[in-house]
Amino acid sequence: MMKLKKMGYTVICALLVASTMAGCTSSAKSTTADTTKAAGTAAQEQTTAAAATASKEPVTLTILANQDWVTKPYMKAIWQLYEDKTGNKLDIQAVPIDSGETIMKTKFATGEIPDIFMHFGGSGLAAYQPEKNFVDFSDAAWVADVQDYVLPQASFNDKVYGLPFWEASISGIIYNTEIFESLGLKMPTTQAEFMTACETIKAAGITPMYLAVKDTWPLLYQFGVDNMFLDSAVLGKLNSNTLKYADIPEFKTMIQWYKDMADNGYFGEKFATNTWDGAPAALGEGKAAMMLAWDSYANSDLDTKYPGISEKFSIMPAFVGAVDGGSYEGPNVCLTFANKNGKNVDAAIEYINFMADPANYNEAFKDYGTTPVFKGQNTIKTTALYNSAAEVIAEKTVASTAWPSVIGFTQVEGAKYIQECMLGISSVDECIAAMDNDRMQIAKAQQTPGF
Amino acid sequence: MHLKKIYPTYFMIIPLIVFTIFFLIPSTIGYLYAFTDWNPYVEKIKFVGFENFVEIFQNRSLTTAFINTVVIAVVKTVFVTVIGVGIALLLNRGFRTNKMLRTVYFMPAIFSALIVGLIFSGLFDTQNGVINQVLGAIGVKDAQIEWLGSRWPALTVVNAAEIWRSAGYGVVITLAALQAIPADYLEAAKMDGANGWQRFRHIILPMIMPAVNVNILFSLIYGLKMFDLILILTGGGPGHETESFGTLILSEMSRDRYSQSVSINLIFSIMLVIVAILFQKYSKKWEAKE
Repeated sequence: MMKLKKMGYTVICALLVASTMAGCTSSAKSTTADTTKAAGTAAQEQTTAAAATASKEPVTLTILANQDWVTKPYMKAIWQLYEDKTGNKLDIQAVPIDSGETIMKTKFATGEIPDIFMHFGGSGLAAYQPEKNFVDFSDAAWVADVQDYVLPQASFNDKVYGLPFWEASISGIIYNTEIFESLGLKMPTTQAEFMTACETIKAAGITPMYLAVKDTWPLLYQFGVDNMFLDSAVLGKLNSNTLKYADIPEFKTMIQWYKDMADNGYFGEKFATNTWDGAPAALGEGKAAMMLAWDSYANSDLDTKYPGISEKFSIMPAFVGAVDGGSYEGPNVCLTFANKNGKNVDAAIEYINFMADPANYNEAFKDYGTTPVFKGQNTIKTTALYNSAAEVIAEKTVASTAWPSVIGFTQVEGAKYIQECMLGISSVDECIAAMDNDRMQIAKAQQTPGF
Repeated sequence: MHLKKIYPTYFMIIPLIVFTIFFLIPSTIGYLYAFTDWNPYVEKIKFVGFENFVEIFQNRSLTTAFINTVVIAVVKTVFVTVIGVGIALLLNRGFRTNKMLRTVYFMPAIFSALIVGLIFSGLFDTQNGVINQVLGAIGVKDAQIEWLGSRWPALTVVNAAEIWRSAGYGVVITLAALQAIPADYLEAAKMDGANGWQRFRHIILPMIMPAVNVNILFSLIYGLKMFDLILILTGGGPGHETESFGTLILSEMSRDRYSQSVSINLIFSIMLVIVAILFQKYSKKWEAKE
């Protein structure tokens, strides 16, 4: 009898531990895609109603976004404007930058979908099942107002789901012109010149380039990857599994670049614990001369902490080992989506249309340094960084390809393998093999033909 | 000990029903996903047998996570148990400041993981951390150690943070057991000529062993489940070097590999169950021997 009791206790103990662990897993939830009205038509019908819809009962819309995005001045401005003009409230749910994507996907997988969702789109949007979850705005009036170079990014499978209410920045390497001038350096035009500049800066006791290695995403290796898939035939081969990263010589030179930069001390003697939050201090106090970033970063982040410092900065192409002359990355815009299955679907559509109203976006973006996303934008100004390198930018800008077009591309997870390579944990070839493996696993999960 | 049965067996029916509905069934259903191709892109989930398990056993990070998890759990258990007994013995001596000291030692246990993580990342920060500054001040060459920048130093910091956070529990549980030891036992032993060590070895330790066992079991299980502090301090990095089972599960989720994530969870749960059962079995023997 005692033995039986003991066994019983043991089984209950085991079950308790197992249940506790199982609690960590999310359950798959099938969501119904039924909507009583074609969402696109709904969006179209609501377009003209935009701002003047405060008549109904005030509602509170939930917005799911990344912590970094919610601090953008134009986002804060449009939210304030929306609340003031409509009487509705916004409940901003900001998720951490580094784990944000995971949290957002988990929320979607468990059916906890907000009224409004923000995301950079591209192939990564597939995980959120846009056809099933988001309002199709393809027929909305504001689509014609979106700049032609931005519209492809706002599209998914030839439909427009998200409003590109964002700054359109040019990415490359921002650099301190004062440091460059004091050391007799000019903006590098080749990879070799770039490395020479790094050596000179290092010899002067300054960290040539600040890289927020600990946060992984700021490795921004997509700046190099963009160049490799500009040819749609090459991209097609990669996306149909007849080509691998390992087969592309430029991919290897890019990973080797990160390793060489680390080994040569061009990211500083100690760089493994550098964080994105530490970047303004490193650049602002002149401890580092360069950083992979975008033109508006100098205004939005550096000037905030070191007023006026953006005047000392310019932007050069991103030399990340992929192409000898370096390249700038074209705009990457964050999109705003409306949940078509939520209880506040009408208010969510109105919210998006409100943001797309020229009067409202012009007020929100007033005096902000960016290139225009909408054709009707007339209150913005281009950044000093952009102006300082406008000619080179025009010559060397390539479209953002890696993020929106490479199936299975992951900015954070891919960067973790580069991180390991830089720290000597793995070799260049092992790093590329791991990145390939990850990409193929995701493509397989997406049921992409050929994988 | 005489345990008097004060309620009939059928009183267990309702708790068992609740347990079955809210724990047992959801858990079982949850674990079934380990044998499917569930991910955010799949509309109709289908069974794939042990395919996910085969795949995750080929994952290099699984070995790293396994080693890290075991190291964290064992180191934490040893330190929390020893520190718990040591401090409890001191506090049991009846200092004037006893109550205050108890509060001080237990204080870290009430802090959230986020606060503990931030305190330790501040302490061990490369440029401005107190630890590196102290090392520099006492003349250590190259005192800019990147504590969180490589595997073993980072795991040391994680362990230190976890031990600091958990030691209070060990102290409180052991102290309660110490205070339950009848004073006459110790006085009689003293009169018989037993020295301090002999009293500890033959009277105190056997009598506090059940409490120590509870400490060991809790430390071991919570050590194996280590997740929050790693996420805050290292995020599993650099690369995947400081992943534990907990962070690896999250990492798989973030790569849209939901069913693989559940598979790791299932393996981990089985591991925990085995540890719990083995510990229960052997700890009883230790107590009996004592």
